[in-house]
Amino acid sequence: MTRWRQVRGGRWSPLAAMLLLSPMALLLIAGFFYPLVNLLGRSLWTPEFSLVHYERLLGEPLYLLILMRTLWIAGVVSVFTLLLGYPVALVMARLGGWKAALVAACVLVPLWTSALVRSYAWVVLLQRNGIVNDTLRGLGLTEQPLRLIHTEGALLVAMTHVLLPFMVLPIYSVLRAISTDLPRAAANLGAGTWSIFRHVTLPLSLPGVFAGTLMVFILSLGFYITPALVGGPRTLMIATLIGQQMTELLNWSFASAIAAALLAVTLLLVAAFRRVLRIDQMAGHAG
Amino acid sequence: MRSGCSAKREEREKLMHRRTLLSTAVALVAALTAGSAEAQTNLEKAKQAGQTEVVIAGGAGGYLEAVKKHFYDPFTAATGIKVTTVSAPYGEKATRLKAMHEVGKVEWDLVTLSLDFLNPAVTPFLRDLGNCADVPGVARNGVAGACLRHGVLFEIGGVPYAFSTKAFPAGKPQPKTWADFFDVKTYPGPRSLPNAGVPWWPIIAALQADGVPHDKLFPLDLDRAFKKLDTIKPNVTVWWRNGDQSQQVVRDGEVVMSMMYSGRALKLRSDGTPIDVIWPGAPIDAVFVGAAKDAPHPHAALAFIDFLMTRPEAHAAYANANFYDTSNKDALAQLSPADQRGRATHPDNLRTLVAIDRDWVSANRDKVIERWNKWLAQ
Amino acid sequence: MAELKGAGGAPVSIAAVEKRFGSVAALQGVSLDAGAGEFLSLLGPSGSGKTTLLMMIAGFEIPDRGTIAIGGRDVTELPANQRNVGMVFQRYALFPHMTVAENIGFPLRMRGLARSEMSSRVEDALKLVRLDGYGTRLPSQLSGGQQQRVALARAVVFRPPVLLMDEPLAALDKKLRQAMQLEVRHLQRELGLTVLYVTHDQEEALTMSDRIAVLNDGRIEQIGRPEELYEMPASAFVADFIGETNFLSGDVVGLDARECRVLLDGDGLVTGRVAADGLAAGTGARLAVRPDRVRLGNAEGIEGTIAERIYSGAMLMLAVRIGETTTIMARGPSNGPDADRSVGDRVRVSWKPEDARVYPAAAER
Repeated sequence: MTRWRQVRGGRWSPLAAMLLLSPMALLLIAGFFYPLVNLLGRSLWTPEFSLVHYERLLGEPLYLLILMRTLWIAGVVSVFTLLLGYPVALVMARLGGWKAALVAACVLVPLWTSALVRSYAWVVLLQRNGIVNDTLRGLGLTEQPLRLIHTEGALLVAMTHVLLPFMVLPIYSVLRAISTDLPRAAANLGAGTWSIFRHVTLPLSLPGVFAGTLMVFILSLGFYITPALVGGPRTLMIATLIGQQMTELLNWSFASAIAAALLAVTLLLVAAFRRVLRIDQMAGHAG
Repeated sequence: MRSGCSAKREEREKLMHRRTLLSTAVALVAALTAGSAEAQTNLEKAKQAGQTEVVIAGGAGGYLEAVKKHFYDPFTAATGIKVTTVSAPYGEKATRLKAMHEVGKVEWDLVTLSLDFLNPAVTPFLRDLGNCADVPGVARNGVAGACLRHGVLFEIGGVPYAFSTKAFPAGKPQPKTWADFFDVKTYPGPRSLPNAGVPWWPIIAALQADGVPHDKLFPLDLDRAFKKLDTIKPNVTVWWRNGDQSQQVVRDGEVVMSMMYSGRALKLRSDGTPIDVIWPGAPIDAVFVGAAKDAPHPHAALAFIDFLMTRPEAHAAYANANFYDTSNKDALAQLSPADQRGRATHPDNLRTLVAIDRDWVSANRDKVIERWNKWLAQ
Repeated sequence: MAELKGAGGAPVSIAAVEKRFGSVAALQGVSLDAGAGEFLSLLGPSGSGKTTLLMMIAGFEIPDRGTIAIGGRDVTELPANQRNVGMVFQRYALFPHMTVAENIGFPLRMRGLARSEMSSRVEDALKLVRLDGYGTRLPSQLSGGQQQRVALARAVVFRPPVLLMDEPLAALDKKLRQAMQLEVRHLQRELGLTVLYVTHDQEEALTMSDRIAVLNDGRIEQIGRPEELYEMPASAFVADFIGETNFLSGDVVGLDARECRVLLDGDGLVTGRVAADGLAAGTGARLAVRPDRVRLGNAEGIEGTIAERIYSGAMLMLAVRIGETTTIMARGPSNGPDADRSVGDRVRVSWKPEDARVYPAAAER
């Protein structure tokens, strides 16, 4: 009779847990698993089973090249956002109150503007007659305008800019959750500023670093508008390729095959990353 | 003021040129006699079937405003049929059309797409109008060749190149051909070419620059084209992905020459950007209206196409606002001679335009795009 | 265990320390001396400044004025990591990502000890807190009491002369807390440490301390041995904060050097020892008397009625209503002479004058 009631100090019964989880589960099934199965199905049955799309994918070096380039860009952007974002998150966590909110707002601004506006802002800054080139020439540092926009460098800068919040916020929230007692305890036990960071703050913030890096990495893989507007011809990314197959060629089967390959590579990388960071243990510790 | 006689001759000439153009660009030419045979008009059928709405997947922004003003609103005023609009880029519209057919619920009646989408990947989702016998307005008011079987021609333009008259002012050498576009010694400065899913455009430009006559381009010699493209690649600083971008780089002086949509170029020039447009050898670009298969309001859709073909003055006003020619046979004559000269269908321009061999493109699309991507990624 | 015995305790000397946080004065001129090996509690309600004082000794806060010296050395401005004092935090502050052994070894690692010596000292520390064999566990795999013992081991493993404890037992349940109190005291004696122990639990302070400093509003109200504080509270605040007290308000009607007679607001004349300056005939006063010093009888004292009878096992508490507004609590053994009294009985309430203390009413802050 009491089987389904809440029992044992706050533990939820299986039914209650299921009820609580069901909206999310339904959403996942409808919005994620169904399309995923559909996508895999499309890439393999056209309409009879065939690996022809995967053969094309593997047989044509272009796709491997673009996949590699996409992973490279995503990786570099992840590293850049981490290098820039970690100190910001650290400062935000230390500041607290309205000052932290101000820094957070500055970090978040790029998210509130459309990708298009943001990309054009970079164009205005970096183009031949743009502010950066004018300044360089004004200072006499260069004679001819440098080619800044429509390069891989411009793309990396623009992507780092917009993805920064996705790195800062998870790290910030993890850093905030670290009790102030811990660095104090470390100092009391003899650790200097660097040792506290190295032995306490950094390891405890790794779940945030992992979440942020993963988020930035995966979001980078799907970048579409920014590479088109500020990137050069060499920055063709896999999302653009999928979009091309999807909307220009209407070859959904091949698009699905590319997407499935991207998904597989992403999952592999995530698994590898998890392994390296032993994230399960880390997450257990942060509690 | 020109005499009525010469105007008529011009008219005939134009018609002739249009025929040359469209006989290659288009599959079938409708018989001009259709129209009186049908017992009931599409409008009457729509009313009888209770179809009081038509859903059109068209463009967005200023473009939508213009179409609405000159065609949608007048249609509603004349027929009482409400026009509901959906805005999306061409590729997305094609994708959604396909998706709607897959789930078995088509929500659109009409869709506007660039001619490029009139290929076997898309046509299965468009109603086969045959010789447009069911849409008598096309034969009655449209230009010759307006019936495209899976759609009806609406806007006609091209993809010429624009060059900066600031970089190459009058009195000094100015580029005139695709060969000049590729000649970076005589005409130095950064260029822009499209990377917008239609690689045969720059390929067509390259082949002409390499000496292939504009009417002997197809089948496209890809090896030769890419070899020529190699020579200009370092000077192409922007590979634009959409029309806005192509305008921005020219307006901001980011490049001195750019291959671009004629309407975009003419708009820039009319807004005061110092450029000239080089028509010879520009690939034809056009927009057609297709009727969706299994559409919710099929009769209202055809009634709209009938209506769309009428009223040359609306076409002229629209063309003036939008810098594209339209498919009403009497519209161009309403433009000023100066304006006519800048248009794709002006005889002097039309003669030199490149019609896309859609059969060849359909058969080689994947291959060309793959090779283009590869070349670009190198 | 001999390994852990360091140089024994060191004296801690705090002189005229002041600290403000914005407009709030956290400490206003606090001076305090803890002798080597002394167990000194800092007792007070929350906001009294006791934790701030501890944080300053640890080096997490720098005083605006005044000095702090440990073992005769001025450490007022010395960074926390160079002070060499042990500290046990209220919520243990164990590093969640390190094992028990790594936690305890941390201060040794920071001091650059060799790996072999480190592990032998960690072993000793684990033995000291009776957790041998737990070295490879994570803190999250331990109970609250075990975590507390790890924190304790970590705080003493590097042989600091002074151990600071910030309400270390507050999170434990009563039984465990009492056991830990004994253990902490034992450890302190074993290692000869000077302990500064922050608590808001007066019972805990009384049980454990050599001396107690009672803090209120950033000032030290009184400092002394537990018996002194209980028997001779220097202020009404201390009387109220330590143990249970009846407070009776009235006016001074008679005064000499030792004793003071107070006419209660309700009625009745009572006598007590003068406990503070500022008393004068005609001024308001508060008389404090512990319930266990209150005697009930039929002959002498002020008259009242038993309003309530609270039985709690060993003890019996009787509430006597005097007049309209005053209630005096009396406590005695439950098998004592007052066991037969019941609610409604008329009784007379009295106490020895030396068991009651009179404070000026204005002295109440």
